[in-house]
Amino acid sequence: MQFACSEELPKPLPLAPSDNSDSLGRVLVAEDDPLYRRALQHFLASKGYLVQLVSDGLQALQHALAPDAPRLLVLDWMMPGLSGPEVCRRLRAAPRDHYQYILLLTAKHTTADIVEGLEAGADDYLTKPFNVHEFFARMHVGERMIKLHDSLFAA
Amino acid sequence: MPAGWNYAAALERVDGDELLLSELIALFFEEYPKFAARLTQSLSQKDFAGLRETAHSPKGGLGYLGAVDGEALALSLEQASLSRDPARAGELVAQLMAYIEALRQLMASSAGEPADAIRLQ
Repeated sequence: MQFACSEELPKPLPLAPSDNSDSLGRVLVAEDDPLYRRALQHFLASKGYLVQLVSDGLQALQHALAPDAPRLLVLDWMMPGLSGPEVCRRLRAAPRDHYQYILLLTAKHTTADIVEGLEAGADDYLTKPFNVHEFFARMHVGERMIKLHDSLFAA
Repeated sequence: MPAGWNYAAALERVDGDELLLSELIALFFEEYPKFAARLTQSLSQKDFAGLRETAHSPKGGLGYLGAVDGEALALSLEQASLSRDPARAGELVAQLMAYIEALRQLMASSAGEPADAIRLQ
């Protein structure tokens, strides 16, 4: 079977953030473990991202709901204040102008945990301890999803 | 319990950045006294919720640093806290703290050595 091919193929979406002024070049990281917080800050900064760091769920929600909030959010599951899934639920319930992509970090890895995290509104999850290359691969998925969402929204 | 440390796994997680790994190790041990104090206090007060929360804190760090036996001990402590078993929790607190002290010595003695010179448990 052959499929007809449109002559005007959509241009491929760039995979990496174009610059730091782009909202995709900013990441909100909510992590209460100092070790993971430092590692994430280091990795993201080394790739040119501007990183907003918070250490509890309430701060995470507050920053995520701000008008100029980053579009990429990395949330730990277990945090003081609000858990990562609870931040997801509250953020998804709030009216937002732009879609925010949420990567949930968790030491939990049972099917029930994964279902709970994704049903709460997370787009993806990564099990701790994670590999840095896998982390960035998932961040790039998030960037593609946001760009796709924006292009559909603008059409 | 002798401390096992998978240095190679830890180094791989930080993409081979030895400086960053050293910084993370230092950060873990900077935080450790606070963690140990909270652990001891929660145990003495039979505050199982606090004990579980406190045990969760170093679990991630130990796992990230390749100290998988310590990660397993912290997980067991979380579980013992859930089942509110003071005797088991007490044993595990002692084991975990002894493990982390042994790990500190192992990491300190391994500083500056090439990765393949560090022997695992």
